[in-house]
Amino acid sequence: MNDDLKPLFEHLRESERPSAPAWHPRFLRAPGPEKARLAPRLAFAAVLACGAAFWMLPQKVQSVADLPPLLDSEPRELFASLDAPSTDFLLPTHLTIHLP
Amino acid sequence: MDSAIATSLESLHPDAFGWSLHCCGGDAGRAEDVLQNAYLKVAADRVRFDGRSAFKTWWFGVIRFTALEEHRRARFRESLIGKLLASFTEEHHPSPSRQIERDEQAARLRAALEKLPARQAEALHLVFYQDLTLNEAAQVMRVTIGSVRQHYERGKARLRELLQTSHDHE
Repeated sequence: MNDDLKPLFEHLRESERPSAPAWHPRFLRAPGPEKARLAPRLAFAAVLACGAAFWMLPQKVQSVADLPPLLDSEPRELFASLDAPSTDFLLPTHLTIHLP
Repeated sequence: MDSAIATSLESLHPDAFGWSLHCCGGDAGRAEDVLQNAYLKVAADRVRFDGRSAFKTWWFGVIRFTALEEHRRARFRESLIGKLLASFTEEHHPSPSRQIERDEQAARLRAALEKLPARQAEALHLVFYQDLTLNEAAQVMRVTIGSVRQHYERGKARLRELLQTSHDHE
């Protein structure tokens, strides 16, 4: 009843068999030690670590008032130390400083 | 792994490739990938033979499911990358299966099978090519015996028509 089709399929089978890749025991070797599965976990851990580091960074200063004082010395008269110069012979006359 | 399973897989390897080739529409490269992935599933214990059916029936079911998974993945890749690549490369490469189909009769049968609805072609391949019973074919295809019988009978009738038509055209 199927005598016409069966030989055709047999022929197809015979023609396809040579194209089958050769059998090798490595086909049944289990994948390596979780290498492939570790990669996404490591990437996720790295992202978490970066996030935590960013979170722990000191917060930005929001206003000028929050800045630390730049000059922390006691207020005193300008050029007070020049009241009694020991000598001014090196200064040209037009550059002589006249203190108020 | 059980050595009996390994021996069974080795003895079924050529037929398993033939079934994988059918599931992949004659694409030999993809059929090899599918078979390799199916072997990996067994090796990694992701699928296990429970003895409820014949080993060949179970194994062919695994290959069929793996081919479906691969087909879905390929469709996704083709939707994103394939179109882009196609716009750059216009030349058409014939599939490896076409190159190995030197025999005219085998090529005609394959062409006719490709024109059949997938279920009908599957049923015919499992029965005629793999020598499975209709009951075993139903288990591989995960359909009822009544359904597979219907696919089988309609497939045979349609295949005869297609082969006759191609013969008349020569």
